Formats: sequence, C-alpha cells, structure tokens
Amino acid sequence: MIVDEDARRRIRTDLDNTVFVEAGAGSGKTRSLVERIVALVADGIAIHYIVAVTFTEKAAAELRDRLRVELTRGGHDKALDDLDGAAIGTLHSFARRILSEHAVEAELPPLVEVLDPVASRVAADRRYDELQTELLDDADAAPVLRLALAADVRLDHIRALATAFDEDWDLVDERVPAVLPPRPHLDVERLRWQADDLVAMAKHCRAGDDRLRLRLDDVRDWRTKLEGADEAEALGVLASVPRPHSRLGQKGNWNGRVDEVRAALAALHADATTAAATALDGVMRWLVARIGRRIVADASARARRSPAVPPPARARPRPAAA
Amino acid sequence: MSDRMTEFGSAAYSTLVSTVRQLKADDALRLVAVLVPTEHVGVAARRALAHGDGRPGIAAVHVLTLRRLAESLAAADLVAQGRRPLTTTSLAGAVRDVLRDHEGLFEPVAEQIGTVRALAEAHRALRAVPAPEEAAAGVTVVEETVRIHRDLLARTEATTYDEADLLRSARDHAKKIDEPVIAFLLHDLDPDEQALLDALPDRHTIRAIDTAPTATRVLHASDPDDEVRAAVREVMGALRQDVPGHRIAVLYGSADPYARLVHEHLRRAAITYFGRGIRSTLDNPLGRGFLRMLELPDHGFRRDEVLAWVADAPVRHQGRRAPSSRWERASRAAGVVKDEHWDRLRAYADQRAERNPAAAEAARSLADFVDDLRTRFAALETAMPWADVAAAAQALWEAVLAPADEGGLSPDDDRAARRIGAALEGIARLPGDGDLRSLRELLELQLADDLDRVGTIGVGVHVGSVADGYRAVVDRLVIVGAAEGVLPTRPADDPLLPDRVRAHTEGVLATTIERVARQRRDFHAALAAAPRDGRTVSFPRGDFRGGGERVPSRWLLPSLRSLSGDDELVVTDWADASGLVEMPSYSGAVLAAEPPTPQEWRQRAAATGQPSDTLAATLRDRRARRRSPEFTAFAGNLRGANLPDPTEGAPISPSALEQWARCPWAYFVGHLLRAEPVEHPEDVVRVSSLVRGNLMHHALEGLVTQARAEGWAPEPHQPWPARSWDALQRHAQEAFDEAKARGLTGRPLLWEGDSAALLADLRQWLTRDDERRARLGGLTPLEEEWSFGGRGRPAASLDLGDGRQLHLRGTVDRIDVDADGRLLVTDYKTGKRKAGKEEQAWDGGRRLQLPLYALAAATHFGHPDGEPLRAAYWYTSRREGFRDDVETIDDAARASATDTVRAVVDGIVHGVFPARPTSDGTYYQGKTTSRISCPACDPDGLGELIHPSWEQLAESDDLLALPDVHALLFPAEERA
Repeated sequence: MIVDEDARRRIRTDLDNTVFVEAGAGSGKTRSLVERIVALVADGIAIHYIVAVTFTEKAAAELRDRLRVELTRGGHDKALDDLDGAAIGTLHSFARRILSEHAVEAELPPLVEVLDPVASRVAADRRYDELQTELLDDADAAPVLRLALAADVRLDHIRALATAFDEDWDLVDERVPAVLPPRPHLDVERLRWQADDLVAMAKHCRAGDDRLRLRLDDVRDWRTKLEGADEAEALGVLASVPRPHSRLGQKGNWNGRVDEVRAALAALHADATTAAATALDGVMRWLVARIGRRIVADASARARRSPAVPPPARARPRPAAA
Repeated sequence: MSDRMTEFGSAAYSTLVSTVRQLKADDALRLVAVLVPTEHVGVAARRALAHGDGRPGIAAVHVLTLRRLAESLAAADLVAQGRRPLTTTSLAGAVRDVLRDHEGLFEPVAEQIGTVRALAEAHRALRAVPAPEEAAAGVTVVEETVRIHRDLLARTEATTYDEADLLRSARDHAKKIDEPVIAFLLHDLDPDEQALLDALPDRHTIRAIDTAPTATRVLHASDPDDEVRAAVREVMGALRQDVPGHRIAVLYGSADPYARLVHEHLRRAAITYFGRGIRSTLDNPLGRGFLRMLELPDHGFRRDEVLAWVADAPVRHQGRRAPSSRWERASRAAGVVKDEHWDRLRAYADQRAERNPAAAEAARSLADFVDDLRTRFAALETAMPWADVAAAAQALWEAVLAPADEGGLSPDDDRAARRIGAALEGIARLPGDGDLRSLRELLELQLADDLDRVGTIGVGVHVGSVADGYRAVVDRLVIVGAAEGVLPTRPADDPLLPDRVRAHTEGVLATTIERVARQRRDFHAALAAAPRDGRTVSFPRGDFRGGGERVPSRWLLPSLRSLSGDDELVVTDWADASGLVEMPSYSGAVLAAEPPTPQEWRQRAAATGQPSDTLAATLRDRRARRRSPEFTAFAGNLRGANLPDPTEGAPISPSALEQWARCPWAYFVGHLLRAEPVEHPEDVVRVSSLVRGNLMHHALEGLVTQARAEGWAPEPHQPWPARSWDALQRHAQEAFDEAKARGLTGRPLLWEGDSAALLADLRQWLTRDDERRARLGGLTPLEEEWSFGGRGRPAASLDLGDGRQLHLRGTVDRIDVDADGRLLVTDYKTGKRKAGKEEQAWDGGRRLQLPLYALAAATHFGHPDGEPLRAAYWYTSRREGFRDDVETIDDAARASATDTVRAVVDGIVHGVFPARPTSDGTYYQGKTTSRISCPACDPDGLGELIHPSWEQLAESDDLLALPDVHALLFPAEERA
C-alpha cells in the first residue's frame, strides 16, 4: 500500500469539500485529478459543470486523453459525448470563456475580440503616441519632461517605461501612487552661494599657476553658467561641476588653508551631484506616477471605450522640501 | 411520400439518382424538384443526375435550395405589401434606435459596435424560436435580449421581411407545387424550414447517417504553412493521376489561418479552385479606403494618417489619381502634423513658388484637397436625418474615391464600388437621425461580412471549411488543420442566448455541445465524401504564429488507432503511433518532394548548385564580394569609376570636405547619391540644434544689419547701445515665428522653455560681445552672414599647389576688423564644445571651416599680404560660457590646411569612400559595439551592414597607393 493512500482516497471520494493537493512532480496528481472528475461524473455531475484548468494546452490535451480513457472504461457515455465542450483548458481559455459568457455583466460588449500579439503591440504603440502628445501638451508635465531631457533621459526611455507598464497594466495600479507626487523642483540657490564662497577662497593662494587655484577658475566659469539658468538648464550644468582631487594644489601656496579649499571643492561636487540625482529621482517618480495612472485609466477605458478619460487627480503642490 | 436513409458521399448521390428515376417511373420528362442544402451540393447533384446510373442521364429535374424555393413562392407577395428585404444595415440601425430609446441592461456597452452586432445576430436566431419569452424566463440578460427582439420586430415587420417571413409566407403557397419534391441531405432545419417542407404535398426525403469513417492517410507537418504546402502537393499528385479538379476538395476546420493559406498556395501553384472567399469589401482598397477616410476626423486629420490613406486607397483629386508621393514630400517639408497645421501648406507653396514650382503646385493642390475634405466632414459633425448623412457620405465617396465610369475596373473593384453604393442607399432609407460615428459602424457591419465567392462553383478544386464541404462527393479529399484546439474550434457559449436558455428551445437553438456534435458529424461526413483510399487528413505539430506545440484532434483518434493498430492509443502519444506520414521541414520538402510552384523549383535548383539563370550566379558572386575583407566596391572603393571631380565642378563647401573626413561613406551617400534620412514633422518634438543655431544666426544678422543701416553699430571699444536689446529681441521673435510656422520648433510647451533659454543666451550675447570686441583689439563688425561662391557670388579659390584649383563656397557667420585693419573671422557655435586636443592638423580634415573661411575673407576684403589673420569659433551659449577659441591663420597654418584639403580632394577623386567608425566606437560591425547610429550605414534601421573592419582597410593596397589620403584616414597614433 502506498503511504499516502489515504490522501489519494480522499481526493477520490471527498466530493463535497474543497481539496488542496500539493505533491511533487510524477507523484500522480493528474491521475488523482482524473479519478476525482470521473467520481464526480459517476456522482451525477454533468461534465460541462466541471472546470479543470491546466498551465499549458498540452497538459489540457493530456488531461482530456486520460479522462476519455477513464470515462470509456467507466461507461459514462453522456460525459464522453459532452467532453468536447467541457471547460478543460488553460487559465487563459477559461478566463476568456467566463468573460464571453458573462460579457454584459462584465461590462464588455457581447462580442469581444482578443487581439493577437502583433495587433496588440500596434495598438500599444498607438496608445503611447497619444500619451506622449498628451504629456507634451500638458502644462504640468512639459516642464518635468524638459527636466528629464536635460538629464539625458530620452523620449525612447519614456516609451520603454510606458510599454513596460502597458504590458503588465494590471500590476500597475497597486504599485503606482494614486495621487501624483508634488512636481519635482531643482533649487540651486545654495549651490550658488557655495560656489561663490569657494571662488572667493582663491585670494588665499599666492601662485597664479597653482592647479587648485586654476580649478577654482573652472568653478567660477561653472558658477557663471548657473546665473540666470532655468531649472532644466541648471540640471544640465550640474553634470559639469568641476571635480575635486585630494592632491590638487601645493600646500605652500595656500597659507595653510589648502585642506579647507579642497574640502569645500569636494563638498560642492558632492552637493551638486546629489542635487542632480535628487532632482532626477523626483522627475522619474513623477513621470512614473503620471504615466502609470494614465495606463491604468486607459486599460479601464478600453473595457468601456468611453471616449474621454479625465486626467489623473493632482496633489496640491506642497512647498519644496527645505 | 418516402423517407430514405443512406450514407454520406457517393452513396447519397446514388440514392438520389435512383429516387429520381423511381419518381419519374416511365415518364422521363416528368418534372421532379430536388431541394439541396447549398448551391455547391446542387452542382454535385446535377452532375450525378447527368451522369446517371449506367443508363443515360436524367433530364427535367429542378435543383434548388429551400431559400430559393421560398423566394419563388412568396417574395412577390411580400413586395406587393410594400416590404423590402431586411438588410444588415436596416437591422443594425433599428438596434441602435431601440438601444437609444431604452438601453436597459446594456447601458454600459450600448455604444459598442459589438453590442449592436450581437443583438442583431440574437434577433435573427430568436426569429426561429416559437416562444422565446418562455425559454428566457428567469435569465435577465436573455429577457432583455428578448425585449429588444420584440421591439425590433415591431419596428421592422411592417416595412421589411426576413427569412422567417419568407418561409412562413411560402408555406401558404406550398400546395401549388404539385410535382414530387426530394429533400436531399437537408439537416438541422429550423421549425420554419421544416414547416415549409412539411407543407409540400408530394415530398420525399433522403437523409444520411453518420458512419464515422476514418482517414486512410494522416500527415503531420511542422506548422500550418508547411501543412498547406503538403496539401497542395497532394492535390498536384491527384491531378497528375488524372483526377479531375472538381473531384478534389481541400477542407479546413478553422478559417484562421487555413483559408488564406490554402488560397495563397493554390494560387501560387496555378491550380484552379473555387470556394468561399476570404476577402470582404473592407479588404478591397476602395472599401478599406472609404472606411479609413471616415476615420480621418478622429485624430484631427493627422498628416501621417491622411497620407497613408492617400497612398493606400485609390484617392482621386481633380479627376486624377492623387499624387501621394509628391503630397507626402510637400506636407513633410511644410511641417504639417495635423489640424490647423494644414494651413502651412499655402505658406510653403508661396515660399517655393519660384525655386520649385512643382513642389509649390503639389502643396497647393494638397491644401485644396484637405480643405475640401475638412469642410465636407464639418457638415457631418452634428446629428441629422440619415438621408442627409448618407447624402453627405455619398458626396464624399463620389468626390474622392468613386472610380471614374470609363470602365476598365477590375471585377473586385467593381463589386466593391457597387456594394458601397448599395450600403449607402440602405442607410439613406433608415428612419431617425444619424452621425458620422454610427455611419461608420453601419458601413463596417455591412461591408465586413460580405465575403465573395472565389471561382465558379464546380470548376476546379473545392476549397472550404469542413462544414462547407461535407455533403459533396469527390475522389480525393484533404482536410488540413486537424489539431486539438483547431478542430473542433473551441466552443464558446453565447452571452446573449446561453446554453441554459438554448436547452429549452427544443433543439431550435443549438447548445455548444450540440454545435460541437454537429461539427463532428460534419467532419465525418466530409471524410465520407471521398472513397476510402482518397482521404487524407493532416495536422500541424506546432504553430509558429501563436507558438506552442499541437497534438492531433481527438476526432482523429479512430484513424490513428486504425492506422497504428493500437486500440489503446491516446492522442497525446501520437508520436509513438506508426503509419503516420511525417512531412519534412520546408527545405527538406523543397529538395525531396515535387515543387508545386516555380519559386520552389528555382529554390531546389539553387540548393543543388545549379544556377537556374545568370541572376543566381551574379547574386552569389555579389554576396561573396560583399562579405569580402578586401576594400571592394561594397566597402566603398570606387577607384576608376567616373566620379565628379571637386576641382572641376561647382564650388564645394568646407563642411562637405569635413564630412568626407569624418566618414567618407556618409559623404558618398549624402553628397554623391544625395540620399538623406527622411524626417517626419510628427517626430519634431523639440527644436533641433541645427535650427537653434539658425535662429541665433538670423537674430544676430538682423541686429547687425539694422544697426549698420541705421548708423548705430558700436564703434571700437564702445558697447552696444541700449536700444540694441529691443532690436535683437524683435529680430529673434521674427525668426522664432517663422520657424514655428514651418513646424520646426517642436511641441509648444517645450518650445516655451527652449525659446526663453535662447533669448537669455542672446541677451547675454550683447554684453559678451562688448567684452569680446574690446578684448580682441577693438573690433568693428564688418559683415554678418557673409556668403561666397553661392548664387551670383564669386567663389573663393584655393590653389592646391599641384596646378589644381579648388573652388569654395560657404557662409561666414561674422567678419570683424580690428583697429589695425586686420580681419577676424568668427563662426558661431551653438552646440557643445568638443573637449580634448587634436591629434592631427585640422583634426584630420574634420575641421576645415576656419582656414578656408579665412582664405575667402582675405581674398575678398583684401587682407594685407603676409599678415596673419585670426579666426575663431565662438560658443555663444551660457552653457558653454561664451567660450572663444581664437586661432591665428599664418602661412604655416595655410600650408597645412591646403595639404589636408588636397588629401581630402584626392580621396574623393580616387573614389575612396569607406565607412569610418567614430572614435567612441559606435559604428558598423566590430570590436566594441554593434550599434549603428548613422543612417548612412543603417538606412532601414535594421542594423545590418557588412564591411571589412577599419583595421583591415588600413592594409588595403588601393589605399596604401595614396599615401596622403591614407595618412589622413589612418593617423600613426590610431594605428599604433
């Protein structure tokens, strides 16, 4: 006797209860399943009231095969006749069956067509084109896009993001904030002061050709570029902040302040880099929420195909974090 | 009255012949009517009767379908009552009206075309059900469907009649038929059909029973394509054995993908066939074009949609086929994207009127065309009576698409045009109001389903679904697509009339299980149509389109078991069964089996190494040369070719010379082939750097020109006066406006930011220029945008030092003169500054503007001989900090520039055009990356290019023979 014979018997005979069967490959799950279905049929349940879901078409065909053999053996002629129409198939085919059988209740038109992968790709491209136009024409989104473009994000990247969302739109809703985060801002005021202070330190240097002194000239040029720069331009400028180096400059030229200058240069570089990264992070979070919301709205609109879906709700702008 | 049972196939037809013979008894001319299920069975029946049963054929037999009989009996009566046949259009229109009055349960989906279609189908199905309310009891969806069905009936029955009316009305006249009538293989009749039949006084029935025959040959192939190829080979084999075409049938379980594949492969093999068509009016260019036109307003007449439609559909303008390519070019150049942008065409036309009258004319005619289209559509924006909607649509159709009456129309087009006309007529008769959207839906409903018949019934091989062919009789039969999931097609319950309701209609509405059972009977009957040794069934092992493996249909099991002799066999173990025929792969089949098409004959010849013609040999040779690591013509070696010599032709620009140095292949493609990547206005999201530069130039040129004309240009060491900013702003705004009108500035919101940034750069330019003029020795602006060598302007001439003169043309952004009368040539740069030191003089020819501009300016403005002349790149943006790179062009610099130019010219003259990778390694095939970013190497975006590597080229004898050119392309450092 097999050790799990009791469990096997239960699967076969305990027909009034839900049974969860967990077992390894090759242990005879399908066999037990077939036995249970045959037992249900023998118990008077019509085969078209039984659903059996498999992972693959091939597994479904196998299940049908075994059922055919067992139903023939058991002399269940009616069930054999009806086996062709029984709901034995993949999860997709079962879902499709439910939707088409209860289309009106699911708020779908009674004749739905499932697009093949190519057609659905074309439709997704089309949707992205419309989304891009919408973003570019949206007074809230355009400045964020301009920031993104300044940080070397390309529209192709945004398309890739939207395509990824579109492919798994059902997972987007729970992962993307329901309300838009505040619009990202880049504030470079503090960096300007920092740079001014650093440039002013040049007065402590005695030698005009000292390499740290020359780097401060670069800082001065860089600081000039920030003057009057709008957000997007400033974000572009941040990337070219002069680099620090721990051995830059001759100690003797600096009146004992070389370490202080080096540290200030390093701090400026670190702060500028962080400011750029923070801004980019904010930009991406905003875009992810904006695009994600739109994809979710589009997906539910596709079900009803109502002509216009209102844009997602916007959070009240909060003052930028200090 | 008699009722005879027989088997499907030839037995049924023998029974028919003997029954007719019996009924005629000794009166050969006594009229007998035979009712057949389809026209095709009618043809087969006539043939069987004509052939007879050993004795001569039979005359005086009237073969017709039940519907035809009903029509002949009752149609005149119904028409006399003022009723017309109920068309899809009027039924769909009525469904819309019913839903509009009371949506009920269908509220969320009432707007969907699928809802209309499904309700119309349910209505037709319910017509046959005697008491639909009883069957529907308790099921809300069905109760609602029945409510709509009743409403539809009430709205349509006074003015129209449908099949059920026809059958019921015919029943009253059935007594008139006094000759014997044989109902031949009429199965699955609904109550009305059965009642008509029952009303015939002298009726005889021949029915067939399902004997569940098996196939004698089972083939399998890798996928449906190969399967159909194999089927066509079977057909060819049969034809070769003198089986007549009309005694062969190729049937499929599912039309998708088989219908198209079977049609396609039979056509390629030039085999005559007939059967249900695969193309509806919507698949015809006229039908598709009409519908696409009606969709244009949806996206604001987008340029790409309008032009794609003009290219696809036979659109007419002013009596001729619209010039789609010329229109496309004109609209692209004018920067049209959609809606109000179409007005740009007229401005573009005015601008081009002199230089390119043909382009201007194209732009103007397209503007007229689109204006007319938009005006006509504007009339359709609001709801109005259907007659008016139809009239507006008719006018659109006639103005734009309707073919001219001159004849010469293909039968397909002729049919499509007539069907569209008929559909519009039907729509015009609809009661109530309609709009563009509903118009489109009704047309789509009507035109999408009217599949044409292909060929003549009974002439050639019969092609159709298993259900189409099952009552026929043939000698050879091939059934394709007998795979699980394809045959039977997956049963789906009807959402409006589900099985639980159908089960109460006493078989009038078949349940899914009954439908599958009928399919199985059809499959068996189809098998029975051929004699035992003439039945072949095939299935695909997989599906390249959908992916995944396939197993044979469960209905093949008896055949598989009988072929293998294994009574326990299950379908998933089919691979273990013996007796099946495996079709080899495509290439295997081309080599082994008889090729059915000329193409496969050629492929076989080529595969066995027999060039079928010189073309194949030439192609093989070309391919070898294309893959060669040598510097061949394919790699850009045009040595000895007849090429334009830059020293003899029109003046050349420094940037063209630079282009050759950057990549000789790109120079060849752009300057000799004159091929350019197509830029679509739709893709202009943001102003390009090229346009940004031009805007800056225009604004500055405007400022300097105005200041000099009005006498307020700054003196040396003097700043620009206060009014300069206003003037500069005005010139900038003019340039901006013009660029915007031409669609060059991208999306408005991005342009807002970009234009503000440009203005900020310009504003700073004024102070920077003050500082710069002072720093460089008290400059006075002399020229802004100074051109040479162009229209009507003398070219600059460069002596190459070997007797040749090179004529140059170009535009210098700015020329200043300093206090000592020396010139300074400036090229404004708005892009990014390239960092790093140059390894070669003039960056190996990639930077020739400054010395050549300096030369041109010196010649023209009489720069003192021997005096060095200054030239500068000035990066006029805040991003680049207005950095100024000034160089002195002295004799040594001039000499080295001349040497570089000479080497470039020699490269061009000697046909040296290899593709040159950029320094960051983005190029064709090679070591660091396979990314190709240049359209010259990758014009189609597919990224395949086969060239020798740059290192291999360095060793080429043809290049080594030109040391200066070689040195320019392969500097010592790069090679080391």
